[in-house]
Amino acid sequence: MTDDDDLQAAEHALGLTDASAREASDPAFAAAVDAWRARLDPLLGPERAPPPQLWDRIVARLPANDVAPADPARRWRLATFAASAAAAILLGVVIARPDGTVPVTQAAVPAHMMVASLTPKEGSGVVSITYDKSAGRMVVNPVGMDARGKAPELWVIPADGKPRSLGVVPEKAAATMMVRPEHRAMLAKGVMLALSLEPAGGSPTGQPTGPVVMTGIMSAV
Amino acid sequence: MELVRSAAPPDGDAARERLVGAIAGAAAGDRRAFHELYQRTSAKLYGVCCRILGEGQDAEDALQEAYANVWRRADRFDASRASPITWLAAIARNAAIDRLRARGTRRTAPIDDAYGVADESPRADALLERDSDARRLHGCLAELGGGEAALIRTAFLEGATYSELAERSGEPLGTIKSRIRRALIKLRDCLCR
Repeated sequence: MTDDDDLQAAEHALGLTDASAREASDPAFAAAVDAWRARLDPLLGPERAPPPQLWDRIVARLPANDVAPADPARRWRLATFAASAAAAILLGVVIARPDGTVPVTQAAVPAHMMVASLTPKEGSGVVSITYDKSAGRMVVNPVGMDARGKAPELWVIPADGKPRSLGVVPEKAAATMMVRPEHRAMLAKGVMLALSLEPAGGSPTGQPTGPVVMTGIMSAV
Repeated sequence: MELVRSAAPPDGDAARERLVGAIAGAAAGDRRAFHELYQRTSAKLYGVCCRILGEGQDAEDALQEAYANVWRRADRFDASRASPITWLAAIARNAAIDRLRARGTRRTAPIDDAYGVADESPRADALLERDSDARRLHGCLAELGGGEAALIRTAFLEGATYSELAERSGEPLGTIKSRIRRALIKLRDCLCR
């Protein structure tokens, strides 16, 4: 880092120039930018508690706000969309079968079916979930999941941010499980599902204790 | 390179590690981790938004935008290159500056008027800030003299570009650039003393 490099880092930290590309690719430059941001930080004012309702507004925006291409959440949404489309086709087939003439339209899909597709942030594997709201029945279908000898546990994370366990799911085979009545209302459109790796038998604490390896968003079919 | 860390809210390695962990959790789509990150950092980030936009609806909107960006970009955070709090504060600053631009009511007054008083002595709220880094920075800015501190503040807190600074100060672009660069060198030397 030359003196000129450091000044360029300062100009970028001040917002006078845009050296984002170099900041992303040059670790020494990024560290210099960070040092300048730290130096200038006191100018950014004292702390101030935000109004309490802001968190809810932030959370409410999250799933609908995924537009950046490099965004993992966008990948979930795309995956969920693909799963929705696949589920719609499957349901369409089922509905069309009896008389063979019913056109497959949105209206033909039962309104109580929901789907989610859980994917890892990195790596492969997917857990497809179909949820029948009227029956409280969830079908979980893992494909290519590696639980590394742990018990995969499925969680719903409603707006309050506190995960509720939906139960331990098999690593290799599809499973049908009944969702406990108190958790059914949480399985609404846009809610996040997550899969963590827990000790055998599931989390001993009632909250995820192992790494969250897959996530996905619930959507209506 | 000497890193001058902000002693602002989470100093200490443990607090920093928790923030790094929470950002990593958010990157993996873990909303609980994201909520923890919000609880630990929202006062800092809202402070940034209020400094740039003033307290109120715009600052609240900027804060929402900032955390939406944090959620989106969490996977790009690299703890070996940046401290979590400066990374987060930069996202909040950018969101607030964007909103300031969208509002279209940026100051166009000559720069020396805009921060005339602040140049001479630390701002009142700086005295309330507990960290000595703040006093040091304000002391070093005051040493710059000649309105250079106002140039730096205007760029940082109003998002003014070089050409806007030139226009507002009525000086050629080249002059403004070299004034700022000289001021930045002096500032760095003063802070590293």
